[in-house]
Amino acid sequence: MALEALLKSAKNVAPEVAEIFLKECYLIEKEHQFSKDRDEPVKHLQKLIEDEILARTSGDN
Amino acid sequence: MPYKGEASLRFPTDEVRNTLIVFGDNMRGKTSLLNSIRWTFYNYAYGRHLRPIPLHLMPNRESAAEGDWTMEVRVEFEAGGSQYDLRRVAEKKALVSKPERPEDFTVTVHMKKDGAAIPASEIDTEINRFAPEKVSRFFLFDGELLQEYEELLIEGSDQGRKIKEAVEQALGVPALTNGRDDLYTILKRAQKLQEQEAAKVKGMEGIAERQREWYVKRESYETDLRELRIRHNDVRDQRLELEDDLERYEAVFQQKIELDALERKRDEIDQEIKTKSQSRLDLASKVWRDLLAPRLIAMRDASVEEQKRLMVQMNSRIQIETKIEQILDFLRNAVCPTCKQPMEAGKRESRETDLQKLKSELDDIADVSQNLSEISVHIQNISKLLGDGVSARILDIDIDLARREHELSRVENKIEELKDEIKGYDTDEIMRKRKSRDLLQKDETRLSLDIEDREAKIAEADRELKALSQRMTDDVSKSSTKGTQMAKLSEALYDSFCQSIEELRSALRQQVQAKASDAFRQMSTQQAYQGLQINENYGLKIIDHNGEEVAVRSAGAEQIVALSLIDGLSRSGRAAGPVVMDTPFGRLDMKHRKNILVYLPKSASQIVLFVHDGEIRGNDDLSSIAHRIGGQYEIREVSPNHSSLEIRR
Repeated sequence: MALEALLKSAKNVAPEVAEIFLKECYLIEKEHQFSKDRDEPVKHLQKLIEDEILARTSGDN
Repeated sequence: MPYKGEASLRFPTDEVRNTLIVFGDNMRGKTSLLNSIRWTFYNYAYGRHLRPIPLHLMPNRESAAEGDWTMEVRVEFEAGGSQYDLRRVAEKKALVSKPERPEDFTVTVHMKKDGAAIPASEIDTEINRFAPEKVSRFFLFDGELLQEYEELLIEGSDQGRKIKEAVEQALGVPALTNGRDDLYTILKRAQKLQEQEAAKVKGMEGIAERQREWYVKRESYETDLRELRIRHNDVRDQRLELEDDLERYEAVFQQKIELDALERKRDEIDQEIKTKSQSRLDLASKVWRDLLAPRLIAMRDASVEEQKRLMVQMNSRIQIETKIEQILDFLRNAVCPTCKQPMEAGKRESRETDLQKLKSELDDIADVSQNLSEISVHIQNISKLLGDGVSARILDIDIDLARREHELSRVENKIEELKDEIKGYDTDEIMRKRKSRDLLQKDETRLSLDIEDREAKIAEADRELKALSQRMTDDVSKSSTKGTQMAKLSEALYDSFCQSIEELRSALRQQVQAKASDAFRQMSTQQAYQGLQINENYGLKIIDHNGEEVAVRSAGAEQIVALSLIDGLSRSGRAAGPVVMDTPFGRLDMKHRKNILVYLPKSASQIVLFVHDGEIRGNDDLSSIAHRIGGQYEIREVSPNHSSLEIRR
């Protein structure tokens, strides 16, 4: 249900974000949803975003 | 923990006979069983108001008195197709003789999955995969906390807010709320990078500076908010602790109030008795007058008679004097007063004769005006002496005094009784605690307002930062720097996560409402109700056959609603699993108990009920679910600090 809600909301506010990329972000958060230490998910998420930007830039080139 | 030595429970594993019932009187160890499961999985046990029980208070007292402080719980279970063996052990540290704090123990946890040991650092993560701690209140369920769910219907209630958080954690909202917070951290970093890049671009220095200022402000608000929340929690914990204490001494406190009121009343009666006794004394000094009263009355009566006689005499004298005056007037004028003709000589003589006669009569009547005024004064003096009945007034006072003294002795007896009852209690300390509790309550309210204020300021800072970031993105985007791209994508993700939280909450509320309504219809004996309606806090209202809210709910109805919510949440929040319930039937009548007993085994893979005889009275009450019962145990008292578990046949 949480993923459904996220995908539905992203369609409204950020249609440019790819669904597969959003799912990957969500899976990181789902994996760490009960973890008090947020460093790990933030690190993973940041890496994912940087990779996405890199992929977009490479695609543009 | 009343269990000494070894005690074991075997949970039913049959899909149909999936219900285990453990009977136990109050104070015998039902909640301790629930806590032992909690402690094994999550390393804590709850006391009242969900406050953790310190570890040094958990071991069995008899064992501890014998020098054995070791406590161990082992749970073997199956989850996700794997066999688990979980064991938690608390042991007194070697150098500690008598543990007085949790730090005096060493706690170790061991877990095997399909026979292979799992490293201690990974055990919590493994447990959270199938039995998340944050959700545990819905499957390790304490019936005493049922009434807390009623708080969900009170807008702005602190307890309601906490339960709402727990509910949302149960329903998977943390994946989105944590995502939002994690993305905010990344967005901040990206904006910082963007800000550094912008500072190098001509014309953007001002925006970069303002962004920096807002970051500083936001960080300061966040620090404030963290500190305020810590203080708020601290104050709330202190208040709850005091309330627990005060609750224990509530009866003593009420007796103390009654005692104070009675002591005030005793003093008032005492004062009244003194005042009345003084009045009586004053009156007693005048009581001799009452002894003389008969003689004085006789004297007064005689004087009154004499006064009457003198009045008659004085009136006669006045009449004669008037007549003499008239004759003298006639003789002086010698004219008839009617026809104004000169008086005839015969008539004149006759009048002169009358005059002589009247003068002679007047000489015979003494002038008593002086006597009359003397006797009036005399009568007044006698009346004063007679007064207004001193004896009667003394009698009234005596009656009143007797009544007051009787009341005083009754009040004094009650005071002694109350003093005996509260002897040994430090009532001043209780009063001090009540005052401290009231002060803490005020502090808590003030801190809540401060928290709201900081939250509003953070929201304002976020709005400003978003606007500034947007301007930067618009102006700097042409250069497509790394900071701008990171900020743009992080913001898009952040916005998506933010909006999805409300989207999910709304969907979850609908789902919980549907599942809870379904459970409610099956558990409630009132078939005319349509179901339940959920509010923003996941509080549930009963809706009647006309679609109207049922405003007044009985204690039993509240409990059915709370159980329906728990069931709705349990079924919405995780895959089916075991549910352990401690004292779940407290306020329910027999029909509702029966409905719930029939419903529960269908709603979970395994149901474990810890009940007392007042909730389920033996096999008669269980006949409707006899085919679902996989086992029954009874907690037996060995000694006040020692209980054992026995299979009930």
